[in-house]
Amino acid sequence: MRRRDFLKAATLLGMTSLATRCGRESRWKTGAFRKPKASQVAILKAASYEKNLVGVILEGIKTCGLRVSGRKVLLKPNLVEYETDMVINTHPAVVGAAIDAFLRLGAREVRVGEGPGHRRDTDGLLVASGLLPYLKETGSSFVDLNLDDIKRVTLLSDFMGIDALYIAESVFSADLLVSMPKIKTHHWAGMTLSMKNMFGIVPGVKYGWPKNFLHWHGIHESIVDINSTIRPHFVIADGIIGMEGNGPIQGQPKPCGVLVFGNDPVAVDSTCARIAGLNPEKIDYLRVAGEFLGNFEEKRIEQIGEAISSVQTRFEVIEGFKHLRS
Amino acid sequence: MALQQAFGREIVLQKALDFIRANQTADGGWPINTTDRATAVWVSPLVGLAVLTSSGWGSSCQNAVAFVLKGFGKMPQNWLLHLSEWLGYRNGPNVNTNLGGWAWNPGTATWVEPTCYALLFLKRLPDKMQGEKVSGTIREAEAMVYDRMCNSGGWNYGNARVLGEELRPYPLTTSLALIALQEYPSRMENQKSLAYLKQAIAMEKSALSLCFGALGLDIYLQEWQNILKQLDDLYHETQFMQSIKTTALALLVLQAREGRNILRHGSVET
Repeated sequence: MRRRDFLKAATLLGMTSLATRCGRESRWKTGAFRKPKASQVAILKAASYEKNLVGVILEGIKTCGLRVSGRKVLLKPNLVEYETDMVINTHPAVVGAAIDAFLRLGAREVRVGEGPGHRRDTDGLLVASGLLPYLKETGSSFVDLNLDDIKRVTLLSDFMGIDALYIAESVFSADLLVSMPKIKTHHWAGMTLSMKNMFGIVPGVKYGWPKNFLHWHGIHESIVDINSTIRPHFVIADGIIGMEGNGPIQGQPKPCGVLVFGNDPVAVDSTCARIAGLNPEKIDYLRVAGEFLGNFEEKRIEQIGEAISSVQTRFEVIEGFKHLRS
Repeated sequence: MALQQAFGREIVLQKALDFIRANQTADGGWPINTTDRATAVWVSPLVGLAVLTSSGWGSSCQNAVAFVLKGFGKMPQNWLLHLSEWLGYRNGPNVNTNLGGWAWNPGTATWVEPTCYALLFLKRLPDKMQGEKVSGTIREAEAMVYDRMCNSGGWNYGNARVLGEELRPYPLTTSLALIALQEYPSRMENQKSLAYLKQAIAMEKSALSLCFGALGLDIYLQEWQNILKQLDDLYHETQFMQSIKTTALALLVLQAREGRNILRHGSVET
């Protein structure tokens, strides 16, 4: 068989496989999901990490109608590793402002939790990234989700081909789980946003550093299964300065000047992709999640605040993801 | 220490060993905690190290060795990765997939950290438990760790490059690899990695990494007393995040200052 013929055959096989995955309801438990008819996503401008972030976040939470009073909140930022002059992590000022905002809205408790995927020395990441002073200032505690107690959870969808995953226990003791990603391109997944950010609730103590177990079962598949089972209640995406190119670690800073809010992670992530000039329908996990978890079609997303067109910033992608532009 | 004062050293040790014995699984390893019954590949050699120094653990140790050796293997082959490489979508593997090591989870890729833990355990086995299989496994695993070294020296989790881009080493995994390869201090790779570690540790903000860095540099007879000051500063800033494990490691660092580095081969009779 010639290479070209093989390529055609492989492409056909891949398309068939994906179509089967998207179309078969047996991949998720029928009746376990109620996809909303429409979702709200708020895009609010935030020019820098210095000015009135608490005000913007308060507005975002209120605009989306999130009930906070009396609830225990777990903020899940994206903390990967720290390098000077790189924009790898959710900015600590955004996390600090979110803690402040949730406390002002009457949250009973606000904790911050993360389980970085590559490194087990999370203590150093808190200090080097500058998050620790914000935790001290607000009296919030931090839980290393990699080293937390763990709980075996039956998956509600079946894309990875396994029955269950272990999840950090602290996730279950929170009333509100808030995914706080950095808007970044990703060299394996296309983009990493609120749904991919949930890899951090999968404990390293069980799956290691890196959490290769998830990659081994497919990144897109893992993203969908984790989010179908543990769905973040709210998203605050840090797009004040995002990352383009060879993300999630070695890409370049991309100023975008927005924070994006919503209670449908699929809708928020799809909106972030559109803000970055990429087509969410071409990102496998978003398209599949759009079948049963949330909305990715523009017509089903009510944009509040800024229009996408007014803040759209073209993110560069690596060669393998050029097709996301079409 | 409070427990030791209350019950005496021997009683505390015995209670700890009883706990470990009670939790050894049928296949010879140990789980990550008491609520998870699955044997953990990376935990087992570390627990094995602890029990090696105790008397009356012959069969238990042999079972642990059998479990660790069973976990040794080459990188599993994924047909999709092969296909994408052949089609030119992906560069060939950056690592030598013919060299065996240990994975975090069975059936997945092999990595530096679990391989170092297994090496530490196997190298400490008493002569009567060594053999051709053990020594052959050690040799291949050592070659695997060297193969995963970053170009600039040092190690990260076990990938020197991704998509053609060089990846950076980390102080923690570099320390672990240097400790696991301590029999070869004059090898060029060790020297290059030591140079990286000495430079990187000076700016390190993780107490966990500083502790392993200190223990590693001590084994290689390098100056590391500055790390005590860094640890002291960090303790005041973070209280080591209330981590019992990090605090215990810091105590081992203090012990190393007194000349007893338990990660140095030959420091503990097995």
